[in-house]
Amino acid sequence: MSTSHNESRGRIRVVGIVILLMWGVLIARLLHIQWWRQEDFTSIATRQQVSSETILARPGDILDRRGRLLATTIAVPSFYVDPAALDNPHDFAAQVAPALGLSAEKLAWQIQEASERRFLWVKRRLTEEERQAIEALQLPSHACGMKVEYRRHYPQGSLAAHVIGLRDVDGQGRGGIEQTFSEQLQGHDGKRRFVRDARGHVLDVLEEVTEPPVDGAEITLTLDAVIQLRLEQQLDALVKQYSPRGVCGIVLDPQRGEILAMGSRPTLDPNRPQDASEQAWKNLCISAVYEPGSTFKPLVVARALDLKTIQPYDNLDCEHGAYRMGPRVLHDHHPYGFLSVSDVLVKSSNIGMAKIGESLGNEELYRLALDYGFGQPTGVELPGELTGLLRPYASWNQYSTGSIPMGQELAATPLQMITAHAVLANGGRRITPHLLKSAGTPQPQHVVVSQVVSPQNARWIVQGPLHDVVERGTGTKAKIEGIEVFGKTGTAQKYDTAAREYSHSKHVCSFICGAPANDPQVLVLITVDEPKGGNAGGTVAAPIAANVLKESLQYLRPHQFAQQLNDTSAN
Amino acid sequence: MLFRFLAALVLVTAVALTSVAIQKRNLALKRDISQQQYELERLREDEARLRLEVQRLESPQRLHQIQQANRGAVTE
Repeated sequence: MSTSHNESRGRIRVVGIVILLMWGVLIARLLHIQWWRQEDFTSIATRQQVSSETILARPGDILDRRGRLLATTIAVPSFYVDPAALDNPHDFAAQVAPALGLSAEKLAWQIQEASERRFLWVKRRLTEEERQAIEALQLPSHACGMKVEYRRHYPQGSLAAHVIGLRDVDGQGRGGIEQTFSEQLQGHDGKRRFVRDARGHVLDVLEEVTEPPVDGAEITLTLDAVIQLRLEQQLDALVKQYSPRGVCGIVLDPQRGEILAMGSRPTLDPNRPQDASEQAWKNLCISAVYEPGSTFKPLVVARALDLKTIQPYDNLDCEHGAYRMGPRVLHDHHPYGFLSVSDVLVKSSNIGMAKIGESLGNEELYRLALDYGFGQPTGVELPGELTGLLRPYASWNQYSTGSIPMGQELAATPLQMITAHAVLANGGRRITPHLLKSAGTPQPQHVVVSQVVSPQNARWIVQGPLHDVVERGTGTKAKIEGIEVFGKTGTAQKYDTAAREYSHSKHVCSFICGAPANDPQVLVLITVDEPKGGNAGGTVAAPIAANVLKESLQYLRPHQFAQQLNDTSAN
Repeated sequence: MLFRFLAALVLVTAVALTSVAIQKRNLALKRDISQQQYELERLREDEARLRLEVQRLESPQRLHQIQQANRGAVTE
């Protein structure tokens, strides 16, 4: 009896010990999980339950100086597919392709090619009709879906297309302001984190760890859409009349350096970039390099007056149309005897200018070209600006003394030329031309680089010879009744690289004008490359530039100039 | 003894119910915030679309075309 009792007690003890051991193991495992490996398991659970979603930052708008919208952004759906989740790509493609205007065979092939991937864009940025067509198909949600993306719109169409540029399908700026200020316009995407259950349903949004998106900055340009439209209409008229190789125009406020309009032809519509020709992507205002020709002459005269190598009342012997400079004989279009300094500019005498060049010498000519900003970018906020061509001083020779004063042997972009003329128009200060008025925070309105010409001489050149160019010289077609216009024509022969000489049939015609002469408010440059049916800046470019100038002044100063023009027409 | 036990039970239940009520209120507020954020995003999108449409309608190019068309009609 006692033996069996002892045996049963022994068994109970053994069972108790086994149970205790099992509990001990369980407690140890619990401690291992809950204590030692707590962080590992927490992170695994978080990974499984918490997922994040990008909150897209809305790209900033681009506005003109009066708040008109030049570029904005709209949210649109994009359609994607999970190729690995599709059983039959051909059936799927046959269903989807007609709704999206795609080729079913090509789509099926693309899905098959990406069969191991979990994501493939079918079509991005759908139209409203395409979205409705896809929704009507009631496709399986585990295999495809829509994601919201932003689409850039340009409500003014092709207006100022070269200045604005465009954003590509991935939201990257391509050309123009869109490229220069891509980062500011883009903003920073945010992040939203949320907890899902096993079926993928959202249980909770973790507000405390959400990164809010920072929308892109709104950029205001110095452009004015109305002046831009006037300029582009005139450029179109010029293209229609002369069928040139290229044409461009700039309207500048010479006092502040603000670019009011900038246009180039051929052009493109940023809403439909696929239709643009290769040439249309080029902004000739900053990427075309021409010899300036006679438009360079006033800049040389101003420097010569500053250095007192000539006086305003001097008379220069223009040698009756032929002047030997070393081995070279220079010619004028018309033979002139003695001409005043003013008339050298009014008649655009090459010989008169060569003599002024001789009085300055090569070193001073080189220095003045640098001072006016030739051979260096102007600093305008556009990508792809060329520096023009200013050869190193060491390679200048006696030909340069005659060629540089008449605007040969150096080349400049149209923007460099109008910036150089702004120096004369604003009293001798070289100002950086700019397009940016504000980008969220106020920007400096202008940057004075240096005093290049004395105010008196700049004023004399503008109110004297340049005004006379329009009144009785080569630019009479730019005369506007009731407004004191000043200007300078330029007709540069293009260099024929094959014949290794200046061409007699290919010209670049240009005209720079401004008004009013006593207080210049607007400066206009029109450059025409190889016009057909005309080869002089005074006949091809001057009337167009005058139209732009007149309309700009009427628009900017309606009370002042509309009254003057009305008075004139009444008389 | 029974009274104390019941009192403790009531207290624990009351605390639990209060906490449930607070959690529900918290979730309701979060839902409201999410709803408002969604509404805000929707309104901003609507504003962007309307602004785009307004700007398209009053673009200088379009107004100029209308002006030219009207001028042509008056001349005829």
